[in-house]
Amino acid sequence: MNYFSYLTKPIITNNPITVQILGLCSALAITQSLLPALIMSLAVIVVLGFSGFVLSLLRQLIPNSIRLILEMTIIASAVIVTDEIIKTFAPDISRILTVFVGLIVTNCIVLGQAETFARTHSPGLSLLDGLGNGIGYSFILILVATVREIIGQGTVLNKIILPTLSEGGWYLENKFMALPASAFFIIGLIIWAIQSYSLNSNKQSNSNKQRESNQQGVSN
Amino acid sequence: MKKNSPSRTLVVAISVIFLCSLMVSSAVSILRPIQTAQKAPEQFNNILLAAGLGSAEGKADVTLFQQVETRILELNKSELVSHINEQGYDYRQFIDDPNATTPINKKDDLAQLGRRPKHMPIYWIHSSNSKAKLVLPIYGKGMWSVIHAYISLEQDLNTIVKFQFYDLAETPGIGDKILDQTWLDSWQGKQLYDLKGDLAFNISSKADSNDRELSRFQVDSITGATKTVDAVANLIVYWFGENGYGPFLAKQNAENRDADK
Repeated sequence: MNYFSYLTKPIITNNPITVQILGLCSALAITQSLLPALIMSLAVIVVLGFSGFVLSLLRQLIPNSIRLILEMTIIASAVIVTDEIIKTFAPDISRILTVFVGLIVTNCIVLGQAETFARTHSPGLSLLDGLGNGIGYSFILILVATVREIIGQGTVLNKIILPTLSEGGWYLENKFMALPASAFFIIGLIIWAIQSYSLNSNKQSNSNKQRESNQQGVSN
Repeated sequence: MKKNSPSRTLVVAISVIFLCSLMVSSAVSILRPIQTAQKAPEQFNNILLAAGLGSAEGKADVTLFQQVETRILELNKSELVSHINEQGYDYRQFIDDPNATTPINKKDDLAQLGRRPKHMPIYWIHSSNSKAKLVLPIYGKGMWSVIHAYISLEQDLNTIVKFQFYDLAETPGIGDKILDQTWLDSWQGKQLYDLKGDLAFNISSKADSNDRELSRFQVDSITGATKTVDAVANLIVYWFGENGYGPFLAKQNAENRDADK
């Protein structure tokens, strides 16, 4: 397996949201519009990369008995620093994100990556895997946020795409898209699309294998 | 040393925790000054907003600043003091400082503050065509975060002009329903104290607003944001009670009455 695939695999084929169904809570809460989703994505990528790298560096040192609590300490510290940086340089967006940056600590993706990957792989690979998972999470977040912002407010990044009725245009915005629950439907559709795509490609590769083994049988 | 031996566990735990705390505290101490500097003009606008003058975009008309007279109130004595520089005074810097706060009795601590600042800034808003309004900062613990708000009072120091939150981090979509403008507007004209001078203001989920005598003091609760609304109600009761601005407002009213005579 080449190194690059550690980075790309979590984006579609092993996406944390659509395949592992992790980190849904924040994916529902902050996808109302694109800008906060972008900042949140960045924060998650940074935290995942950092925690993956550091935890993997320390994996030989950390005793098993206090493994989880030390992992949480390191992740939480990274999250607090990230939160402070957002508060300083993007105070308006930090007001929209509120507790959700802090709640990256409890985002299952982060601890999941720490436990299943960083503990058993080298720092370099863990960094790649962390970044990959972060990008995979961001990919879905940005997709959902874009859809919700266009349908819900007729804008993308606050630029008017569909002029709304209240602004003198023709588009009546779908208020449902402003509610967190609407993200369930969009994520559901994305999961459907990805699963059926990967099912199809699995079937094809399986039938290819079968054909090969049949041919082998014949030649024997 | 073996990987799982107790001594090694202790050493690893302490050093990781030490490094983490170093990282967090240095980040905070580097970034805090930048954050406070950014907040100063915003803060002023919030005060003006609470008095019904500021602009919703976050940038206030500079000339309006002249109408604001900042004073420092010593809560223990309920007296205005002048030995502290009131320009840009931000009580939020002193919330956790043991030297600048006094502990609150458990049973009085409705807003769950733990400690109360010795000094709070108050703001008189002067304008040419009406008598001075008073803007008071109040804060308390919400569901998740510390909620900070300004409340402005008419010249009678009893009727609410406006209630405005400016710093909180409650659950998006649930607790932050308290930011709903329609709800905040419903505070306007409500009164804090009854004729006897007792605190009568309350937030209620019961619809007995037909009783006009009661509805003067009553704001409707918000369905689905009960915890946060309860916290808001508690912080009003705390700050306008005996341990907050209550004694100061009573004193000011008495002085005003004397002056009228």
